[in-house]
Order: sequence, then structure tokens, then C-alpha cells
Amino acid sequence: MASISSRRLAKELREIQAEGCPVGISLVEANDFSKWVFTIQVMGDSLYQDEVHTLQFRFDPQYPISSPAVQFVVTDGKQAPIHPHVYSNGHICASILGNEWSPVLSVIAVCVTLQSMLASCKKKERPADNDRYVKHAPENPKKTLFHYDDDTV
Amino acid sequence: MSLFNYVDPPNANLICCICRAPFTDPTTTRTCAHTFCAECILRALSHASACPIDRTPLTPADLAPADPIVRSLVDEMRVECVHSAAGCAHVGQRQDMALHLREECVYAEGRSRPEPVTEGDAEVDEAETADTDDEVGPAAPHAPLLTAAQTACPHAAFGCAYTGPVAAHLPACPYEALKGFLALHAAKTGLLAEQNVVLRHRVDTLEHTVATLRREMGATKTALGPWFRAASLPPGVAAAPSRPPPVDALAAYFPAEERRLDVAALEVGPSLEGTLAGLRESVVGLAAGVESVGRRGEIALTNETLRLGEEMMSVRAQMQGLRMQVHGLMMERNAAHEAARMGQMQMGSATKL
Repeated sequence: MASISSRRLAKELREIQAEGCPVGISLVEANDFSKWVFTIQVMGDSLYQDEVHTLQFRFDPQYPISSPAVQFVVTDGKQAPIHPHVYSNGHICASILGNEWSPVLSVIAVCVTLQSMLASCKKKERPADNDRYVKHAPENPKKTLFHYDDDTV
Repeated sequence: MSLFNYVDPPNANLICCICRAPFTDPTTTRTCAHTFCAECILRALSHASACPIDRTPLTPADLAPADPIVRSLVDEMRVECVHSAAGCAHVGQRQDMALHLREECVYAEGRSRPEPVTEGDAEVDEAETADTDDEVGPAAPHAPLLTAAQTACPHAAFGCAYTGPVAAHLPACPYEALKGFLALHAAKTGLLAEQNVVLRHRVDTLEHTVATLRREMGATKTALGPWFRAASLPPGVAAAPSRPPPVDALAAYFPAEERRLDVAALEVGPSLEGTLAGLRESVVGLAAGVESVGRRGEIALTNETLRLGEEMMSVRAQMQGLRMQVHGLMMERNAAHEAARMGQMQMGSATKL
């Protein structure tokens, strides 16, 4: 049976092409069913006004049963947003990317969640253990066992 | 997961949120009433034991087939044939697609594809009908790319193994000469096959009926028990001749009744009908007996009452007589006393003076 991920991603892509992305999100690259790239901007009054950040999604054959690997792109002079849940290597500590992932979620849903995560931030700062984490971080953020505790940020 | 192209945009409520396609084999959770394709939810549960929509704890045991209405709604959705890219323009309900692919779709594998017409339509038609007749012989080829002039003989289905330029071969092909007969034969065989199918169906139905009847017979036999016998005896024969009723201990006190009630003894006869008739007669006899007993009692009572009345009368009369006698005796005694007292008084007075 052809991979369920390709079928599902084809459907999502068709939806994006038919209905467009929500405000502040735009599709940069979706040429195959293994890696997609989006840019997100935070709308309205926020600490991240006028900042554009690039998100990269990587899918495995078990998508949507397994979550995609999502991170901010930090190559080519791009920088990850300064946020208590975003490490300087682009890895994101978000529950919906880990234990709270559900097959009902989609790429757009993740983008919107991250958008609102940035929008609700009160103070621009790196995570407390940023340097330590970045030094020993795995390449794929899914391999990290994040500890999700702070819901207010 | 559904592979189909849906002709009409599907209702959003019928779309599985995991695969984003209309449900295939819809399954609903008992705990939170969410519906998914069976495959999708089972795969999701193998990763996390929670409902993908609201994270209610969930196990495969909590799944149940979705409401039949939902199932019908998705099964009746109109879809294109899977071979639409190859050219099949068939559009039908999703539930009928399997049948279409098996029986009708000419683009399905293993069926003869419409050949480019060579010698007119007759041969092409023959090759196609021959294929669907399940004739012995190689099935019409999966059409490797042969040009119009060079194909397998149109009668390949009947057994001609020739391949090559058809135009030159046909005059020499023995099957070509028999074309008329072969066509007739094929038609007849087709007809027979159809009849066969119908007959088979009828036989199935009959067998089913026989099985049901046999079961019912068995049940009836068991229910009747010893009464089950071929109905050979005419009804009523089983009723045994009546015995004289047992001597009534109280008969001596009643005037002898000439009416002898013949109550048939209850005989569990060899036939159900006979037994039932016997029972009925017994009941009738009993009813008559009870009635006559009642009447006898009434008569006896009346007789007694009358007799007692008469006795009362005679006793009263005697009482009257006795009373008169006593009265007479008392009067005599009184008179005698008076006379004695009168005599005494006269004597007394005589002396006194």
C-alpha cells in the first residue's frame, strides 16, 4: 500500500493550493513529501512585529500518525526567534509536536499554533538551558525528550 | 483509506480527520462518539491510546462499527472508476465499484482491451464475447503492442494459436470457416450458462427451504413425542369402549336412576387426534354427569322437604289431640273436686245447723 503520508500530504497540499494559507503564513517549498518549508509572521501588536521566520517540516512515512519534525531554519543568515521555548538552533519545545500530537492536526494547524505561541510571548529571551542544549542537541528535534511544563509562555 | 476520485464534493462531516478522505469502513468510538476509518484509528491507536480528536483514553476495544446510516452515506458516494486514466468513463456508487471492476470494466487487468478494428466489428465482438463466456483456451491477450495488421487470430479464444498477419491467415484459418457454427455454439453456451446460474440459485433456495422444513419437522416431532405417528387411524377409533362407572356408594339413598352415564375412560391413545376426541368426550360426559348430579340433589331435597312437612302436620295434629285429652281429663278432675267439695260443705252445713 502506498504510504499513507503521501496521500495525506497530497490532500493537505491540495487544500493549501485551493484555499490558501491563513494570514501571516505562506508556503515556500513543497516539492516532495519529505520536507516542506513555510514562513510565518506574527500579526498585530507583538514583540515579533515585522519579523519573518522560516519553518521547516520533515515528514516520515507514518505521518499523520507520527508527528512531523518541525524547526526554525537557522541557516543562510536566518535566525530563530528569541522565545523561551525556541532554542537558538531552531528546535522548538512545543507539546503539540511531542506527546500532544494528534493525527487530526495538520501542517497549517502547527503553523497557526506556533504563530500564536510567538504572539503570546511576554518577554523575548532564550530558554534557560539554551547553551547546554544546543551543544548536545540531536539533528532531529523529535529525538529530544522535551519537558513540557510552562504553559503560560 | 480511499483511493477514489469523488464526483461530487463530499459532505465535510463524512471525512475522516486522519486521512482527510471519506470514511472507509467507518468506525465510531464508544467513549466519545468520534468516527474514523477503521484502518486509520487502529493505526493511530498503535501509537497513542487516545482519541485523536479530544485525547479521551481509547483502546481498540472501545471501537464499534459506525451507524449504518453513516456507512450507507459513504458507500453510496459516486466515484469514478479507478481506471479512468486508462479511459474507463464509468461513474457509479462506491459500493458498486468492486463489482464493476470484477465484471464490467474492460480496462481491468486480464480482460481483452478494445483492439484496434482489423477485419470489421464482427471479429472484435466475437473475441470479446468469447472472453466473457469463459471458453477454454487462452484468454484474449493483455494486448501487447501489436499493430493493426498483426494481431493474434480473432478466433484465438476458440483455440487458434496463430499469430501474425491476420489478413493473410483468415482465409486459411479453419476456425474462420466454422465461424457461423462457433458463433451459434457460443450463443447457446452463453444461454446455458445463464440458465445454469438461475437454476443454481433456485436449487440454493430450495435447499435452504428443505433445511428449514427439516428443522421444523424435527421440532414438531420432538414436541409431539409419542403421539407422532403417521395419521393412519381414523379419528375416534382410539376412544376405548366405556367401562361401567364405579358403583356409587350413595346410590342406595337415591331412587335408582336409569340414566347411566357412559364416561369414556381417559385413554392416551395411539393417535393424537383420537386422544383429543376421547378427551373431549370425557369432558362432555363429565359435564353431563355434573348436571345430572345437581338435578338429583335438587329432587332429593324437594322430596325430603315435602315429607318432613307432612310429618310436621301429623305431629301437630297429634299434639292437638293430646291437648284435647288433657283438657278433658282436667275438666273431669275439676268437676270431681267440685262435687266432693260441694258434698262436704253440704254435710258440714247440715250438722252445723
